[in-house]
Amino acid sequence: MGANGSYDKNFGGVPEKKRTHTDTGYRVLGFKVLLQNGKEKQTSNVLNSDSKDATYLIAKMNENHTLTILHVNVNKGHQLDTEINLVFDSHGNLVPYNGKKTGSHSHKWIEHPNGNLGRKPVSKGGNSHLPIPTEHSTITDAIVKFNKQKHKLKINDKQS
Amino acid sequence: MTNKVKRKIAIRDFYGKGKHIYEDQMGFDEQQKSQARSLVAREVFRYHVETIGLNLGFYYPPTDTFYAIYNDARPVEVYTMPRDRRRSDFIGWQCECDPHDEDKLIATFNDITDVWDGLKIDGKDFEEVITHSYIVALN
Repeated sequence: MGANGSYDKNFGGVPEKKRTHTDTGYRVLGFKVLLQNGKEKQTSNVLNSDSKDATYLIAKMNENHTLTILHVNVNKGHQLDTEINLVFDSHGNLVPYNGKKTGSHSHKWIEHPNGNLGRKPVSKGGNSHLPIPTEHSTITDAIVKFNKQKHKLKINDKQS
Repeated sequence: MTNKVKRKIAIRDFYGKGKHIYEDQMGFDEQQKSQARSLVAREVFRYHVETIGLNLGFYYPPTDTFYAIYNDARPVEVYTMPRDRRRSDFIGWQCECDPHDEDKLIATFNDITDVWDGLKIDGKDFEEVITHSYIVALN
C-alpha cells in the first residue's frame, strides 16, 4: 500500500515507513477499505500493492467520522492497473458512466520508461474516462450499500 | 526538558474547533515532496501532475475559494469547486474537495505543461498561489 517504487521485492511487500494508506479494518466482499495516511479526509491511489494482484477500496472520512468509499484500485503485479472513480447522486446511488467526469468511470495506468507509474496520457481534445469494467459491477454495487450504511471510523480520530 | 516548536496557524479551525491548518502544512506536503524527490514546488508539480497525471485541488485563503486543476481531459480545465456554507461551520467540510466537481470555469490550457507558467489566480503567479494554498486533493 504505497507510492511509486515502494514495493520491495526482497522485503516481499511495501515497507511500513513507505506506506501511504492505513487499513480501516472494514472489508467489502473481502476487499480492504483504506484511508490515506495523515489525510483521512482526502483520497489518493495505491500505486504499489503488497499482494501481487490486490484490489483496494479507497475511502475518505466525513465530518461525522463516517466513511465514504470513492475509488477502487485494481493492482496487477504489485502495480496499479485500473483506477475506478465512483460518482454518487444526492441519494448515494451510483451515477453511471456517461463518458464525462460527471459519471462513474475508470482510468488505465501504465508504466513509464523510467519505471514510474502514471495515468495513461490523454489525447488532444479527448479525455481519459473509460467505462467501469463489467467484472467490477458486483463490487460497485456492494460499495453503494456500504456507503449508505454510514460506517464510522474504527481507528483513532486523526486530523489532516 | 521538552523543546516545543510553536507552529503558526495559517487557517484557523479549518476542520473544526481547534483543528487548524498550520503554515508548515501549506503547499505540497513532506510526503508529496519525498515522492517527487524534490523540495522545489515546480518539480513536485511536474512529478505529480504533469508526469503521473493527477488532478489537483486546493484552497487559497486570500480568495477564500477552492480550486481544481482537472487533468483528465484536454483541454485541461481550471475551475472553482462547489462550496456549500450551510453544510458545516468549518471551511474544510463545506466542499467535497473532489476535483471532478466543477462550479465556475476560470481557465483552460491545451496541455498540462502550460499551467505552471500560464495560470494566474487573483493576479498572482501559480507558484505563489500553490505555495500559500492548502492542498485538499492530489489524485
